[in-house]
Amino acid sequence: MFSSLARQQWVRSSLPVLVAAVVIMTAPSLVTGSFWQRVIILALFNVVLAMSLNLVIGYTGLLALGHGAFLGIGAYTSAVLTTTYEWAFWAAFFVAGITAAACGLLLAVITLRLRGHYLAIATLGFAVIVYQVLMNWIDVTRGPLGIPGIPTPPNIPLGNGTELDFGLPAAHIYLAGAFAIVCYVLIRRIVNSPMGDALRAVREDEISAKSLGIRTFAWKCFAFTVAAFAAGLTGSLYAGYMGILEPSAFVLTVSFTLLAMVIVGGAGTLVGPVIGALVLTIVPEALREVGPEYRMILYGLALTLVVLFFPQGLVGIGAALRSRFRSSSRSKPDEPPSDSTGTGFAKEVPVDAS
Amino acid sequence: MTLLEVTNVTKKFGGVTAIDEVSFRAEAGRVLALIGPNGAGKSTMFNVISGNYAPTSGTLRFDDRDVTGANSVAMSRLGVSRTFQKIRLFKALSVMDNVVIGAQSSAPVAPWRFFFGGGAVRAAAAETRKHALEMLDLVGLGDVGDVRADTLSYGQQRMLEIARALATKPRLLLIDEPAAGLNQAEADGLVRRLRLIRDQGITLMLVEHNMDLVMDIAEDIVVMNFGKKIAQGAPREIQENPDVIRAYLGEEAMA
Ligand SMILES: Nc1ncnc2c1ncn2[C@@H]1O[C@H](COP(=O)(O)OP(=O)(O)OP(=O)(O)O)[C@@H](O)[C@H]1O
Ligand SMILES: [Mg+2]
Repeated sequence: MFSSLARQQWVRSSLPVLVAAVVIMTAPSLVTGSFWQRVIILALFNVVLAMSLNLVIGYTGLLALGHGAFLGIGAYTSAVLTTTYEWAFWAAFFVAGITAAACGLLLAVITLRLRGHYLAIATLGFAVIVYQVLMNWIDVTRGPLGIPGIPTPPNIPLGNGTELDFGLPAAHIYLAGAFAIVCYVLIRRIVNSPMGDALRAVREDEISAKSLGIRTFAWKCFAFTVAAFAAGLTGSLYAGYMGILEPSAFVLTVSFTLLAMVIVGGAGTLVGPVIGALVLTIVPEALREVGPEYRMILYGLALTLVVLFFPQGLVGIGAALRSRFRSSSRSKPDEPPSDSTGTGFAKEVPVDAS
Repeated sequence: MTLLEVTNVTKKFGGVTAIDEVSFRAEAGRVLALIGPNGAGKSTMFNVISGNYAPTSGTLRFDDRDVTGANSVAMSRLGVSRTFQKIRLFKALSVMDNVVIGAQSSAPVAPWRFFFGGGAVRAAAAETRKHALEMLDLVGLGDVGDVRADTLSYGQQRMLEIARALATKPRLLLIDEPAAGLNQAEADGLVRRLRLIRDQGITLMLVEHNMDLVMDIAEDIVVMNFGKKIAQGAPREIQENPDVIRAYLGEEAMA
């Protein structure tokens, strides 16, 4: 038997996962148009990318701008291995993740002495370098020609004689959805544990963290590596879905869009980047109806407004409404603090008097 | 027994000699106050002992081990914890989380093991929270664990820093100006709590300008001025030491 508290916790941790699973299972039959099916798949990839970037930016407080580079590294690693070297897809998938993670660790070790603007510029530089390598290392990447004919993941037998056929978009929705859910659960494990506390401690005050015995450099490397690993795996799925890769898919704009997803959704929260990724992938596509000339203007305007008025991101809107509703309906003891990056409206701490 | 032995420690910042050939010992289980006028080098001494700064020369021994040049992570793990003169809390986190993060560093289960879960890990997490709550209760913040750290009053923030440092289960606790900015009632509570901490067998080192408080709680006193140690002894001896009186008379800020 569950105690009621344990049951409550179980519901709170499992409900979002179950809901997401149901939505993903039904999505291909609800959304049948190939255009929107494609949007869903890309949105799910972006969910993982934003969640993983959030580990670095939101939880650890490191302004890393080149996340798209790890996507590119993973995608190209997977594409080259499955085409030129004819590897099995899933072997290439894991090697893609590990390659990206290794690059992430290397970048971390080189740049993590820097903070703030300097780290931002160094990671931006990394993304530029990766793009240039994809463009110019023609022997391996074929440069601007791109890599065509990337195989999809092998079909997965479902037991009852049918199989999950990756020739169809539905299979890619299921795969990307399952991948996103697994990543969500694993990232939640990190974040809701002493590992997450160590990352938050690094974000809040490195000197204090060290004096409490926290190896801040190691934790920053950890965040970078895990984020790069997730992005690399996503890259492999992306390559398997697209079937063709070109360097132009990994320009700097990709990294900026991912950053926007984290910030707009709510950095340093679990669901924030999920919402940010879904909104910032789906809304621009919906805005196509408005006409190409207004689309990007509206998109940019929406971004600016959210950041101006809701510095905690879209999840901050929900929290603000909820607390307003509560305080007007009945008085309650203090709400637990929202786990924000502290960039919002943090009160000033009095400076020492002496 | 000597817990900490500082021998001929010098710390220079470029041309400034913040600490000049200072030696002293902190005996286990006692309260040692480090006093002196502004700029004497007291906080710098704390930064050297806690591993935030490496000494320019001289040696440090902690618990019969040479720890000269060990960094702050290493010193924390060896059992030296500290508070900061200018408060450095994890502002956006809850009061409880601030202390839990301290408590985790003394927990027997390494953070990465939480990724895999299991009974031992859950038990350790419960134990950590219990320990953190005890520390909060000890400093009188047991009721406000859920609020953001930066919503606390100044005095409460100082106490929270002490609780966070204590949560690491230190053997030596360095407290830099705990009474600064506290009102009289808060200062009285502070003295009572520092005694409780001392009674747990934790060696205390205290930098403090409030002389009533220092004379009240300190068992040994080291006096610094312009980076040099100018006196050392029991509170009564220090109060009558002509060098100390001269150093402080030059300081109008001292009431
Ligand atoms: N990081 C640093 N860089 C350069 N100089 C420093 C640094 N830290 C301290 N100093 C200098 O070292 C001297 C001693 O400073 P310290 O902060 O240790 O004094 P203190 O005794 O703690 O004074 P107070 O009572 O005002 O806190 C001062 O002259 C100070 O300016
Ligand atoms: Mg000082």
